[in-house]
Amino acid sequence: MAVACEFGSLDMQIGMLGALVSILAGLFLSYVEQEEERDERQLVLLKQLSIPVKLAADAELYAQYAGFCDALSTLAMQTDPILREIGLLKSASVRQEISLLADGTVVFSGTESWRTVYEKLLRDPEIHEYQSVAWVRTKDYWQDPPGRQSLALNFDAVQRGVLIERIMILGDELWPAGNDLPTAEIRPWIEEQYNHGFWICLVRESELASEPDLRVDMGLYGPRAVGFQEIDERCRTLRFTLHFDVHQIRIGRDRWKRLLLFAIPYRELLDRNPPPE
Amino acid sequence: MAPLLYLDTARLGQMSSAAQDVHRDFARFAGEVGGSIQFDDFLWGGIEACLPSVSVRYPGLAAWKGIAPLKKSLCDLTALPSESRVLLAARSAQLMKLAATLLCRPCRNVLVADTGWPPYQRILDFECRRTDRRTTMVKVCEDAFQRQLNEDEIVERVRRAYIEHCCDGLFLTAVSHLGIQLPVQKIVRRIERSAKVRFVVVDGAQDFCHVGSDLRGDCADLYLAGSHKWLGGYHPLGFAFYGKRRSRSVVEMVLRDSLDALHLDDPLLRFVGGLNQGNCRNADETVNLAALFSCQGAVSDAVLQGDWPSDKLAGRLENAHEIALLADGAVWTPQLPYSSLQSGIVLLNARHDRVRSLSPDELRAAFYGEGIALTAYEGGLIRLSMPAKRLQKVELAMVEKALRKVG
Repeated sequence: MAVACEFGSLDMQIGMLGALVSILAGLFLSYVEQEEERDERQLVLLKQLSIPVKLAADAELYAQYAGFCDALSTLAMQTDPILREIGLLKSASVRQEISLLADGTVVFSGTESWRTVYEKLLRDPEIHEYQSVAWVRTKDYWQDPPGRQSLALNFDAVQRGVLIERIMILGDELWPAGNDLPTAEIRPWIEEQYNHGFWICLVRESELASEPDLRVDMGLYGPRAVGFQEIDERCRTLRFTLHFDVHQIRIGRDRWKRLLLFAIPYRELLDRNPPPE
Repeated sequence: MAPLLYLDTARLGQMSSAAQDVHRDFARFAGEVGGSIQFDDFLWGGIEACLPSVSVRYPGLAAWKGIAPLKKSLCDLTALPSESRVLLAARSAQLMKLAATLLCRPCRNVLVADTGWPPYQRILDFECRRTDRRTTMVKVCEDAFQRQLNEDEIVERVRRAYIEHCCDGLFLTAVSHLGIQLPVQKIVRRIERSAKVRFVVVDGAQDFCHVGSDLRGDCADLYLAGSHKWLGGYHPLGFAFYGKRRSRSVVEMVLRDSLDALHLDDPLLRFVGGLNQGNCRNADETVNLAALFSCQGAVSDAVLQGDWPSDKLAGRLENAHEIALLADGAVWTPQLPYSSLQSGIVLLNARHDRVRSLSPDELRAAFYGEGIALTAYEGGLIRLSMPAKRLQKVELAMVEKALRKVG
């Protein structure tokens, strides 16, 4: 620039000045562009960091999160492709389960271990009411050791003051049409609960033919949760799904109310019958 | 000792004649036999299970046939069917605790009327708080005394409250301690026609052997009563009659639970309850059994008299009418509901402030000084329990004189 000023013509000097301004403008624009990219990268980083910030308030969950991060980082260093493939499959499955939990749903498949959570709920001092629907298709319903243990838990709860209401949907062979009371095969099981002070109502399964969604095994644990049990023909649990979200609880309540329209209190059935000899 | 006109049965009835005989000879028997094996024979099998010389020596004990026959005779007295049962307890409040547990197991909201005995209401309230249940109280007492409610209106008021408050259980007092007779059967039947009822308890403490002990058409799952008021057993002994098929096993299961958990703590209830389970001889506490014997004596008297309490009620109501007339002219205001709500209990309210300011003890003592035993409350209120037999002219004159003098 100094040489142009000393030895160049005026036109040359103006040309040089223009070129200089263009270079400076280009440099400035490039800087602005890079700054935007940096901001974007910072935003992404901050977004990723925001999850631990939320978790930081929950020490127990944060510890789990940190554990997952460590394990995944270690997994990332593994080079064996088969191991990586298994790792990815497993972690996807775990992620799916945690996503369900995050939505308020717990699923127990092919296990009776759901009864542990069931016990926790019934023992919770804030649960004052437990409403359940028992779809009793065979006389073996809840007669195995885990079932008897859960029943004992019910008796304990009722003694502590929990109000237990149970609608029993009985297969027609257990409560044949025209019979005032269910058969002797199932009656002791019903009366054991009734005598402990449960409010028991009965529905014949055939009466729900047009309402298939009401044929369920379900439990409403106060305002906290609703659980659905699926069992096989031998009355073993196939799946137990527990929902802690308001929407599912509302669905459960709605089913309960609809079932009540078909249900007859066991007390009334006893009233209609003469005393046994 | 000056003759005493006893009008305090609603608090504690006079001991009946046969109850006195049993009691007297039992005291001699206890003094001479003590707790020997002979006593066991006597307790379980009655005087007939003892040596013949025993029945000769203690003729007053002839009425005692054993605990099971006592229970049967009580059920017979109430005309309950053979499958009915009765629980016996030294303290009637323990039976009310059982009643509260039975109500609170299946019910969310128990309807009660304000005619109930306050200590029983407190027991129910306590159990409701423990189990997070509710009670709904319907007020009828004041309006009944002011004749603003007749029988049908009471039934309708209670029914409406039951429906409006989504109640599912009932605790009703057949005859209140202030003498209002609630139409319990009508109330329950009417409610059952329009709503679900999960459990019904009736407090018959002032009803049993007074207004009616015929429980044949009774709608209660548990009917509470006692030996020491209108029956004339004198020694406190609580009864709880039950036996409807819909609730018989429930009562027994909850009773067993409550005794096992020590939620109920009545040695007699445990002892006699053990009889049904065959382990009564293993009782871990010495139990006072005297009330059982005098109760049997009183039951024998009631059976001998033959009439149903409802037949005797007419006489009591006539006496009540006479007393109300006397009171009106002697500065006392009778508190009388409509006739179908009346019982053999008359309430009189003092008109003068001087009498109203007297303490219950002073008021009771003032009447006792005039030869009359009655119950007195704060605010110059007195309660007179009418005998079944028509009051003689001399007795009415005695009452009139006392009312004038004290009032």
